[in-house]
Amino acid sequence: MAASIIIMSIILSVFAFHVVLLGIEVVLSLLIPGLKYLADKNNDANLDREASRYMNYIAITYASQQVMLTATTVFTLSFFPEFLVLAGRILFYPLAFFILAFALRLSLMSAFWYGWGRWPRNLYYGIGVSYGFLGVLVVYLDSVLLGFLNYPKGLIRASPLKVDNAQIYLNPTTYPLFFVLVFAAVSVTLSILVFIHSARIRASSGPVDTQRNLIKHYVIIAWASVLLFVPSLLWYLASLAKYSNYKYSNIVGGILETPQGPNFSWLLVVFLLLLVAFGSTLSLDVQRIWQKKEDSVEGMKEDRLLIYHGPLGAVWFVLLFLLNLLSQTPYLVSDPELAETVTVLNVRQAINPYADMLDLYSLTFFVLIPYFIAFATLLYFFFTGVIGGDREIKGKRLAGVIE
Amino acid sequence: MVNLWDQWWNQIPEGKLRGLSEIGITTHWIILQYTIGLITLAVVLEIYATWKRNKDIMEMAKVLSRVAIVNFAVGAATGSMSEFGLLLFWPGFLELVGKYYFIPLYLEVFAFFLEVIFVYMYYYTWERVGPKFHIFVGILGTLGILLSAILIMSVNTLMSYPPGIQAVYDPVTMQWQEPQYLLYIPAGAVIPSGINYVAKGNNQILISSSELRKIIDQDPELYRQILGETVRQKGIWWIVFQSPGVAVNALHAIFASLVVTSFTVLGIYSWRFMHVKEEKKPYYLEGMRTFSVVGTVTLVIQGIIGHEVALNAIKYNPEKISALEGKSSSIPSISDLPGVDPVLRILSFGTDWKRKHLPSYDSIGSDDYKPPLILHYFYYTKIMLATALFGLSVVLLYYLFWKKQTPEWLMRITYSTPFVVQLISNFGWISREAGRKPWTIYGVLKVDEAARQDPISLWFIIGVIIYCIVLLGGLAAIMWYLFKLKEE
Repeated sequence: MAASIIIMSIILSVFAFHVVLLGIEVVLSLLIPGLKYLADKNNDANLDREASRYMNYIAITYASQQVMLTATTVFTLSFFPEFLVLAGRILFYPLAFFILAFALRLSLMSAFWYGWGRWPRNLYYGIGVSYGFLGVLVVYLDSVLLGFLNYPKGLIRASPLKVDNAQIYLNPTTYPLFFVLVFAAVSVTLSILVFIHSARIRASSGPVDTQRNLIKHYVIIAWASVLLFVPSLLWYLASLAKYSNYKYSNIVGGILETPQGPNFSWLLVVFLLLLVAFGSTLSLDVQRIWQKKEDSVEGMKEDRLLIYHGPLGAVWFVLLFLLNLLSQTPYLVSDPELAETVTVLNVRQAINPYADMLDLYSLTFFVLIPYFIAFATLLYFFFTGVIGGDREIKGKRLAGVIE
Repeated sequence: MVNLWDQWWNQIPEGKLRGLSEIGITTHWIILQYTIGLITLAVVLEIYATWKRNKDIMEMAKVLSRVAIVNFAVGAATGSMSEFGLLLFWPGFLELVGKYYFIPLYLEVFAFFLEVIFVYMYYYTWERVGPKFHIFVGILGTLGILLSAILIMSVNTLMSYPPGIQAVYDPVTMQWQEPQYLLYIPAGAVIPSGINYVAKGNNQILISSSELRKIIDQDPELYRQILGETVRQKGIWWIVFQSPGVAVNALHAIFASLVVTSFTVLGIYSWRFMHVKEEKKPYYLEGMRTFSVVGTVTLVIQGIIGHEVALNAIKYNPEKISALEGKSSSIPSISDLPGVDPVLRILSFGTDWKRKHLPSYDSIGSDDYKPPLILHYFYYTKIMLATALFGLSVVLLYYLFWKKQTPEWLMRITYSTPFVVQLISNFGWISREAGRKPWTIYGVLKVDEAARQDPISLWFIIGVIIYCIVLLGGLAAIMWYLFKLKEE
């Protein structure tokens, strides 16, 4: 495989992590104001504390998705400078709105965090709701940009290339992709929270009843989201089949039709198996809730499935976006015909000759791998409460983990 | 008499885009200084507090790390804004840097990785891990932050001193020359006739800015080949770090951050001292003592480094120094005041000062190399404010360490230090950046060549300005809350 394809895969993988972490962070930002409102309304101090704990999760997911975004931009700049400059020129407004909304959310997030219990409630809820819905806007703008990579709707094939700015937002692949992203993010984020709460219940940390209640609600909503995810995915695949056939053929290649480029149907199969496993385990838990087996702490402790949803969900979410992005290789915009005339869209021709060197690839590989391991370890410690969490868990875990 | 405003905004192209970038980068720079300063000082204070078993200083380290974590997240966002701003507004610059000089930016991503893991870990592991492990984590986070600063500043230095630049200013004859570069040409490449250069052997040529730009106009492919060959010969990993003054410029930015952070905390602590109950005053007094010492020491070091930065500019970018020092008959200049010029020459040339002179703005041969003269006033406002700040800090030290009580008027003056120190820093930053105008990369890439060619809606620009004001206001309010948390 050509080095340019490898580096494109690395960049797309980093971007896939950004999208996934962004999705999780946005769902948390929608969830927290809602929980805070319920806690205030019912005067529930435990729920208030749990919601405030989630702000810690936001801090870490926000910063890490930001790092992934920076890494994606800088890697693209180094390896495909002309492509990045072209994208900046023709996608000026979506990119500008994306980054402004992205950063404005941060101010609202900070205000929401530090206004907790201090500011007039209506103002405070207003900030929280704006924060959450601005997150949805960011996901939408991300979908607009990803949609353009699927199918360059609105592109005027003149020299130099131009776009019709209104048409960009009417891309037929954008909206199914947006729903795919939203339902995937909801089900996976809630599953990760289920994983965290059940781990804490097992460690006898935090308010048991509140957490048990949250788990039950989260499982049901996550399950419903998976049900809604499936038709969204089919809609998305159908839109790809019609408007981005190159990409579609590579995703389903070998199963439904002949791939026009690299065959990623094996990744589709792995993804579908994980999705089925995820949906099935959630269904079993919904059944247990229906049968009131999760109404006691013992019942919850014996249900090991609660632990597995989160990691399983995180893996399939990442695979989903890897599959989505890698299936368009070697084209930066999935349109082989366009890439014949605009060579900066074909990574084989667009790669910066000064960056195309083995030592840079090696450095990237050998830094990224330990980084992801260190980052995953940090997240694990963080979410399970070894750091930044309850001191009683820390007391139990520290002896064996850090010291 | 020059119309200073017109020269700054209208004679140099792309005033709107420059203004927008100035706002965006200033916003990032204000926050960035705290990112560098807060974590670095938190770790230094933690080490000191652990060594001396000082609980108050340990508490200060904790407060700094708490503020740092919010500031870090905001800084990450404004960093992305700046990065996207470069992409959207200055694609010509970004394409050139992305193609030939990308290594520092690329490595900075890895430094950013180091930051994001260990800065967060540092905050979330206070009192949850052993002190040595905690300090180790903090040092790794600080290392990531300092590496980021050094790498970004290396690219910024390249904009003032591109690879291959030669020292051209002769302080004895005061002869002005346009910038000259020592570059490599690929074997077999032919420089078009009519372009003057000096062959130096080993495929090296010495070429002036205007002649190099003729190549850019006539044969852009040859220009790209020359850049590529120079990158190959000097080594892609090292070429950016070979620009003159990379180390002093990086240190200048790092110490600016330490000075700004110290005086900001000093100002906040002095206000808190005056407004808290009696039993809490000792903590804030200890804080004022600590940050007045750190602030004064770092300010002195910053002055020494700043002097080195200026000496570098005299050699490689004399036009900038001539504008900053106001060496022009067309404006009332502070350096024309009696006795000022000899002092400047002594500072610049030491014992040889009688023979040597600072460059004259009026002798610059082409308008293409004349920076805006308004910088003279920014620069001297900076110098005067820095001198005043130093005086204030010395008086404050005297009262805090040698007198039982600090007078109220002095405490009230100290409230102003966060604003004053930011003004100093930002006037310095403006002088540095605007001092190489009308060039984005000195002598190589003009502002209008680096800029976006398609027009941008005025409403968009207004929106961004309002946005930055809201962002900074929000951050200031939150930082204020965080410093208050100590007493709650």
